[in-house]
Amino acid sequence: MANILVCDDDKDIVEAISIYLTQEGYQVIRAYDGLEAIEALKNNDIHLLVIDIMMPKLDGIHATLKIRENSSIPIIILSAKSEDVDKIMGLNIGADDYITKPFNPLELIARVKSHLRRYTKLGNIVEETKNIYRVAGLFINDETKEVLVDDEPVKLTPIEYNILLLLTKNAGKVFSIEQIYEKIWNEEAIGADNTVAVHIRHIREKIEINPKEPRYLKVVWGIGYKIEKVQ
Amino acid sequence: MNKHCTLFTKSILCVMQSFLLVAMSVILVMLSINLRFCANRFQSEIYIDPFEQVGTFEESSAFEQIYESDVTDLIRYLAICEQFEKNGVYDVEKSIDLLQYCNRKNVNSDAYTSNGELCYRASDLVNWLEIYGFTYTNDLLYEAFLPTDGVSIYDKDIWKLLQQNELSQVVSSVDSGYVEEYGNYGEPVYDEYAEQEADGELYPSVAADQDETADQDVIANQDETTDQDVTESKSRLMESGETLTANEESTLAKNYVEEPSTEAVTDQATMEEYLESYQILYSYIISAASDLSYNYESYLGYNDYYKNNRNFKFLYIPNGNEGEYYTNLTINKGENVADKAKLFKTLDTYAIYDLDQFTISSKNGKQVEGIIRSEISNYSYAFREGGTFYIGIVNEDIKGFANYNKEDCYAIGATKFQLFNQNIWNYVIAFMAMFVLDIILFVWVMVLTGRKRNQEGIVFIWFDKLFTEPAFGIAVFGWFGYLFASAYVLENINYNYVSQTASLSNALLFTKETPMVSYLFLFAIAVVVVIGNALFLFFFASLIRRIKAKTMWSNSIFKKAIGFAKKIYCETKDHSSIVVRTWIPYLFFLVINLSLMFIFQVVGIVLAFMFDMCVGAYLHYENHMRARIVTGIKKISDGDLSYQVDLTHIHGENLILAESVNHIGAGIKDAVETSLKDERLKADLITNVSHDIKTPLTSIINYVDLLKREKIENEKVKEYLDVLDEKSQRLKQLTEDLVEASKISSGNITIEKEVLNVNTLMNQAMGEYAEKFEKKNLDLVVNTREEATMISGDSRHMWRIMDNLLNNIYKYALAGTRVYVDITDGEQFVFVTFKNISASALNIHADELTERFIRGDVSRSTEGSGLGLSIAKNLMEAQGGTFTILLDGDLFKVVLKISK
Repeated sequence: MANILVCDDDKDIVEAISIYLTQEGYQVIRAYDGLEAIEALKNNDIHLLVIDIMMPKLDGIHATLKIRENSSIPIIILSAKSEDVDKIMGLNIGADDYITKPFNPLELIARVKSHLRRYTKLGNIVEETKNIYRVAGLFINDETKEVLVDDEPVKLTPIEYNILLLLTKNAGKVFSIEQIYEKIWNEEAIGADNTVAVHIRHIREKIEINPKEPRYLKVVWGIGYKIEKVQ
Repeated sequence: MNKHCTLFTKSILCVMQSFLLVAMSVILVMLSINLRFCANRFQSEIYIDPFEQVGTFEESSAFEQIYESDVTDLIRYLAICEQFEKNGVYDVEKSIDLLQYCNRKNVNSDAYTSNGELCYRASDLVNWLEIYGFTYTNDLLYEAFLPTDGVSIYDKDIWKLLQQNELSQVVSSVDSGYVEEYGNYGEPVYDEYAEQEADGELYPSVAADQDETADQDVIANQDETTDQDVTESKSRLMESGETLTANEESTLAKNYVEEPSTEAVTDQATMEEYLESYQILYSYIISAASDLSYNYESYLGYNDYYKNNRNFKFLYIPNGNEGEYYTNLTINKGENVADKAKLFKTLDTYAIYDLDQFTISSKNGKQVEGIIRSEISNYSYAFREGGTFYIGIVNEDIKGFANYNKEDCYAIGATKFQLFNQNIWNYVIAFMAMFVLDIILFVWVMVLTGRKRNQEGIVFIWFDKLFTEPAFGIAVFGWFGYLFASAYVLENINYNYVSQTASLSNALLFTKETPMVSYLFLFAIAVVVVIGNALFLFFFASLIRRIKAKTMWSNSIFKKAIGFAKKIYCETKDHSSIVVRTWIPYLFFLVINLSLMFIFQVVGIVLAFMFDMCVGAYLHYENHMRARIVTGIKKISDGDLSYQVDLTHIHGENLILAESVNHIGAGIKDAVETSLKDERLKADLITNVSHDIKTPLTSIINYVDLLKREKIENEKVKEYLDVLDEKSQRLKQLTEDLVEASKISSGNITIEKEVLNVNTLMNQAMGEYAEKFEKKNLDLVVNTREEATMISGDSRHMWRIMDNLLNNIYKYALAGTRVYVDITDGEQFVFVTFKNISASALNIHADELTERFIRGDVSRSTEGSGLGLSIAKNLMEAQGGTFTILLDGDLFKVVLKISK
């Protein structure tokens, strides 16, 4: 199994995360400041790093910068700093994900899984079949009407499936509620109707780790919806 | 070098400059005095033109002037000599034919054909004039006429005639009557007599009346008077009895000769004629006497002048009498006049005029020839004999001819000419050089003035500290006063001493004979120049220092006065009541206008107009300043708090206004800055605190979650865990909202506006909340248009507003009621209205709902942070819209005004 390095100056948090990750079958290595994290990275074969920003000796930002000099492992920043500026900075200096405290343990696990999968497997899989669509961890096989999110099958109603397929096929393109309605129901949209919005919400709840901060199916408020195009 | 060195330099420069000025003025004075000198016997001034381009004095205009005036005078002199002299010597016995003399200038040849009937001695005539004056009396003539002892009458025939024909009686009776009257009454009687004479008719009758009566008286009177006169004056009446030619003036003689009968005398007509002739004779004698008297004086003067060893030599040898000549040459016995005459030709300047042949030979001074001709023809009566006329000018000793006189005007002229005309350029160049040098020194001194070694800036002396105007007055009056005073003194010295004693000859030539006064005069000039220059330097240097230090204006009384007036004006203007401030200037304005117009009429209107223009300009200026203040107020009220009204040129009330506006602006700015800073600090504090809270909260949430995963049999523990979970989640929500709210209220958010469709936004939001609302059985009714309703806003913030509002409705709306959302499109704004029925009674003010931590229920037991509405409102306002809450009973209504 994968080795995960968890680094936080709060030992209780490290312990809690370790419990969750161990339950999922991962090997957890603990560190309590940036220097220890770098040291642990040198001494162990680490596949993923969860790191806090505000730590003594060496903070998470500098540690990430240092690690990124000679490593490409997924790094998830786990911080109490929730401002956009902090998130943008964290991602810009080389982190792959940014989770704010207090976090949902399930979300953390899901993201860890997702990043590990991408890091360890996806690079090798080559599936160039017709009617198969993939956007990051989202996988749709139109032949079998199968939807996988991070290798986990998701059950969707036919309308939900069609909406998701439409958006995934045209990943990056924003569809307005009327467009989606007309394509899926083959009827003309009539005024204020929240049918599409409700379906979208259901899809989000099914495929997203945190539906309020969706990774795949994004809401463009006041305009429409789209599937984020990610490489 | 110490600081005294600069002073020393300046002193040296000043001394040198003064010295140059003195030298220049000496040159000027010397030239101006010495270029003039005296020539001929009238002491007239001759001017040597220093720039005349001639080689020798003899060619110069000055020489010509002297020469010509000498020649003119000489000819007159010779003419006079002819009247008084015989063989070049004054002759008392020299007689003059009266008739001939009076007609001497008459070209008519008949006038000359007198054979000496009326011959008087020239000396007598002169004497008569001297004694009797001939001023207003004519009686004396009769006395002179009348012989007492026969000595005074040359011509016996006339005497006889007079006696035989009782002419004398008739004449003397008229005369003696007058004399008697004169004796008794004096002048007024004469006047009466003169009037009668003027009438012409009374005269004969008077004479006739007196005919018989006055006989004896007359004789007696005559005896007395003539006796006296004759003895005193030795006057002699000369008359010849010869017949005169038939010209008008000769009637006198005719009467004497041709009508000697008694009948003629008694005949009135003859008597008149006779008296008339008598008058003519009388006038002849007067004019001849006065002429001769004048000539006699001239004669004496000329004699003095020409005979006194002049360098101007002349010789006139008339034809006729052998050995007769006129000259100022010394001719000793045995010397031949003709030999001397030949020597004239050896002179540098000479002219020889042959009167017989009218030929002139001359050397130097061609103009003289014309003068000789014209003058001789003027006095042709004197040169009737003809002869040869020599003149010449000696400029060195000539043996056997003349000695050179160095004191003579020709000699002086030659010396001065040599000195000044020939050397004038030396003087000019010297003068110019000195002038240039002087200017350089002057400028140098002016550059140095005010500077002092080891001292910054301009150093002032006491005089520079005086106010500009009095200093200027002192300088101008002092200097010009000094100039006038010294000019007056110098002029006096010059007039009293130099001109009188020395100017004529060698005034300032610095010969041994130069009088002391000349040196004194020069010394006086030097003193005047030195003192004048010192004064000028002093005053001018002060001026320069003032200019250098720029105190000309700042130190002037005028400026002080203006400042004072301004101060007074401003004080009255600023500290008096509105009535005074408004009406006094206005009345002043009115009075000036009216009085100008009434006093000066048309000019006054122009003046008043100009005055009004000035007042108008002033008002305009004041209003201009006020406009500046108004602009400032506008800017500040529009939010430009850092704006400050420019205070330059503002004064009086406006200044107070402007300063107040600036103060208010600055105050507001300070307040706003402080409050912004406070908000930011608060936001920072909240953010930091929330970070610190989040970390333990994370552990709590995580461990609660871990606990929940454990298999717990105890139901109570499960219940407690649920409570922990719920509260920790709420704490999390609260922290997040708190940070968000503080960020938004401190303006610490970015807004990226784009065009959005409110309908879509509403649909999306409703989609998010559909299940929640269903759960609470809330029926959401949306009223909107078919078409898209576009707004301009930040999509995430707009969602956040909708989210908060719907969440609020979800939480507080009465279950089972309808929720209305109306979207209406305005011109500039889109209005979105949310209406719902509150579950609990809303007993608080609407405004308080949007204040942080205020919620509908005071108990705060339900979920939520109480920040939702506050955040929504702030976000709405940050995007330029408004967020209004209206409460009507249980109706809760929110109106969003969103800009398009």
